[in-house]
Amino acid sequence: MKKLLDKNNSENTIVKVIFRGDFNEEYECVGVLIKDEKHMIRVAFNSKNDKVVDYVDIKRKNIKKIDVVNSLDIEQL
Amino acid sequence: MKMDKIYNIKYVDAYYLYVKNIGQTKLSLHEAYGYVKKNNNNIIIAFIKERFAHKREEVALGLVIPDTALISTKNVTNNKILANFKIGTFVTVTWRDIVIFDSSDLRDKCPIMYTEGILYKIKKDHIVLKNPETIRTYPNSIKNHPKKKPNYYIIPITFIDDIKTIK
Repeated sequence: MKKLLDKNNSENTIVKVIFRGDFNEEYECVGVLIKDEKHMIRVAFNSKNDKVVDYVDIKRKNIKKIDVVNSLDIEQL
Repeated sequence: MKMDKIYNIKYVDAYYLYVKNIGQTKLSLHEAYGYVKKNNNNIIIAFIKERFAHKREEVALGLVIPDTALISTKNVTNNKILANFKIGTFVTVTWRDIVIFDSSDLRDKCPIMYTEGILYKIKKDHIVLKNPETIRTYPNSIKNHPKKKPNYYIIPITFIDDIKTIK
């Protein structure tokens, strides 16, 4: 899987990930891709004054699908 | 209700401090991404959804915030609620908090908190209570939140449901 995180780009990379859990259950999450390594990715969900608060680490082998979300598809609340 | 659309949410939160002398106070900017559904005046933000057969899904990790926590409502403050309150008086405040939850403890409503303390500051968008004691009254009663009593509690005015003076 190609790397998604472009460190030269100051804009956040928002991703939608479908992945398996340890017992083969299936999950879907959305957030900011903050780590993009050989065996895992880290997706952050929220921040306080730009510091990440909650995130999930997902093993690459557990990822079924990952898409970069177009900013135009994100609604503001 | 399906949670398909992706949202960016900017909101404020209450917090507490253990410092002895408090300086300037302000509300921090919180930002989240997730799928959203509303339950009356509560906003449920799903960070992770578990997917089941027949397109059924359940929140596996999420946040519940009061709709008044949104930055877009931060300055639409009902300052009238504080009109007759003087600095230095002992008050009780009932307010709605933010909570993170997972599938072991699903939530669709904000916790309700009850704080007693000295009204130390009234700012544009928040109040500061000194020597606060806080209990959670909903969903179940918890004394002393947090367990170690802080010196100050900073509560966004939009979170406040009720405030009373104790004589």
